[in-house]
Amino acid sequence: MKQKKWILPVIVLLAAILLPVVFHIGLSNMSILISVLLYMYWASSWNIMGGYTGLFSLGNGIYIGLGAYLTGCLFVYANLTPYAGMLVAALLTGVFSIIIGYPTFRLQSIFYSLATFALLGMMKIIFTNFQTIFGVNVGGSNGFKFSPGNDPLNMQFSSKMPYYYIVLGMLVAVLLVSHWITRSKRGFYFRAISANEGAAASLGVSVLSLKMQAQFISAFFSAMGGGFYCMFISYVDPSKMFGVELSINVMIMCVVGGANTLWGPVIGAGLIYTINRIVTMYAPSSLNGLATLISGLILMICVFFLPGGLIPFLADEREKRAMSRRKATLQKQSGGGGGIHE
Amino acid sequence: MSEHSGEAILSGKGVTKRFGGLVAVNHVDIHLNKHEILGLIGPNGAGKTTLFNMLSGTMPMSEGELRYHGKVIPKPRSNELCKMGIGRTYQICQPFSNLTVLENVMVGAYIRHGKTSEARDAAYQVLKRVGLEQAAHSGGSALTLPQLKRMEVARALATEPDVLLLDEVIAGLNPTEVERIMELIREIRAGGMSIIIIEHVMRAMMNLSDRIVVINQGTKIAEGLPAEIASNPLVIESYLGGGKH
Repeated sequence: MKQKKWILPVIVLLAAILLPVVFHIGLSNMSILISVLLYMYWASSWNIMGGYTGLFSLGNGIYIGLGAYLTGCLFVYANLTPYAGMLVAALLTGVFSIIIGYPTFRLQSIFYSLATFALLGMMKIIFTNFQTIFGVNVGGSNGFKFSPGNDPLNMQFSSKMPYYYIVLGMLVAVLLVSHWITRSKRGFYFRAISANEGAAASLGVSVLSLKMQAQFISAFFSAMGGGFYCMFISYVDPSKMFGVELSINVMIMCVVGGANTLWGPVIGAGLIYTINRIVTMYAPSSLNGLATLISGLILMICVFFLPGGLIPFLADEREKRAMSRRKATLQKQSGGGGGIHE
Repeated sequence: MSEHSGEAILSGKGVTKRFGGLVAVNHVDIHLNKHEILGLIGPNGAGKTTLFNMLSGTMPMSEGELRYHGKVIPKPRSNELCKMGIGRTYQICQPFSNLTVLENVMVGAYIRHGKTSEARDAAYQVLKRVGLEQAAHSGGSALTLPQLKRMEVARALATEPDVLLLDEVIAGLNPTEVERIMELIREIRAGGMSIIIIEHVMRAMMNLSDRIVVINQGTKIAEGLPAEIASNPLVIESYLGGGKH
């Protein structure tokens, strides 16, 4: 049974690897694929804190944006190759997330969400209004632009295919880490904290330290994605990175697909991105916010009808069957008589 | 009053909790001896659970001193006390609804067993001990009240404590279940643990406790053997004399 579980993901992964090789995919379609994968990646990163640990952040754009700016600045001003730059940026962002997390973790969940949301707004104000931050020119409201030239060492390629594989690899990495987390002590602690902090603490869980770990891991991965995005388009736009839309979209993708599940963010991101894409393609250009409106409506529908998200809903029946099977074997093992305790 | 500080495993001295102007627990001295079942009784709102919360580090004390194995614990925090060996249950059952029963208990077991496979084995053993193994794979929110109470006990037991604080694990159960859980509590004590138990069911308390402490309006009004407590006029007046038990 365990073997079976791996078959579908491996087939999907192989298909994703072979896709650009087998089919000729045009430039714009390739960009779309890369964006979808990047959103899947960001939603999965959010899931580690927002889904498993219940740290319902409304400001993951903080980490995405910081990762983007840091990677870009390290590349432009320190000549650091983006492959290393992304890692350094992600580590620094992770540390930053802990610094801002420490005072906010003590807040009740809704106030934590509001605090992250407020901080996102502050980041946007800072990065659009200041031309230089700590003596580094970040471009102010024009954003941070640079022309990296064509060098694979600088993560610049003549075709888009390498980007596709890089972001696919990143997605696989974040999913593997998430999978490992859910099966480890840390993952159980994360979920216990999410359900009931006080009860978790009474069972020896160091709530504050674990929240910091969840936030660090999540911010780390979010920032890596930001760094990738920055190198992909050679531009960081503060109003996009620190805008409400990106952070909310990432959250919605995860919640719609199923927060607290491994595949929820992936399915949710694919679904929401596709819908947004179709809507923007066919909607009249005068209706600017239509895509956001529709993803908001989808969220409402999900909250009403699929409170756990899409994946739990789909998995429910299968899980139920598996559960009754497990129960049956358990009853057989215990011989039916071991239940009564006297 | 008799001094047992030599053998007391857990003791609180001058334990006080103020909520603004309200003194919920007022300079209570309490001690738990090794292998003892100490009953904590008192009318509703007497401050029993608040006292419990302070003994387990769930709530900081406004004043007072907590000693465990004779050593002062300067800043008691629930997760640290749990590591030291003080486990507790909650009056209002607080299952992790996103985890199965077994996983709920695993969260407790992880503190002594770092590896998931070991924690799972240990948790399963505890479930067997409390008679919940049939429900191991049910969701934490799908249990009946007696099962929930057992799961609360199981989670605390999984942390392998020396001291177990039980907050109303009997209330709300039917007589058969009461008998079973009392049996379980006796077994746990026989296994070497020391237990403080809060309960409203007087019959169970008189039956189960080696010693009883009575709290009323945040103050300790009596302490002694169950028989002494039952005949103590102060207790009868403040607690039993209220028209209901």
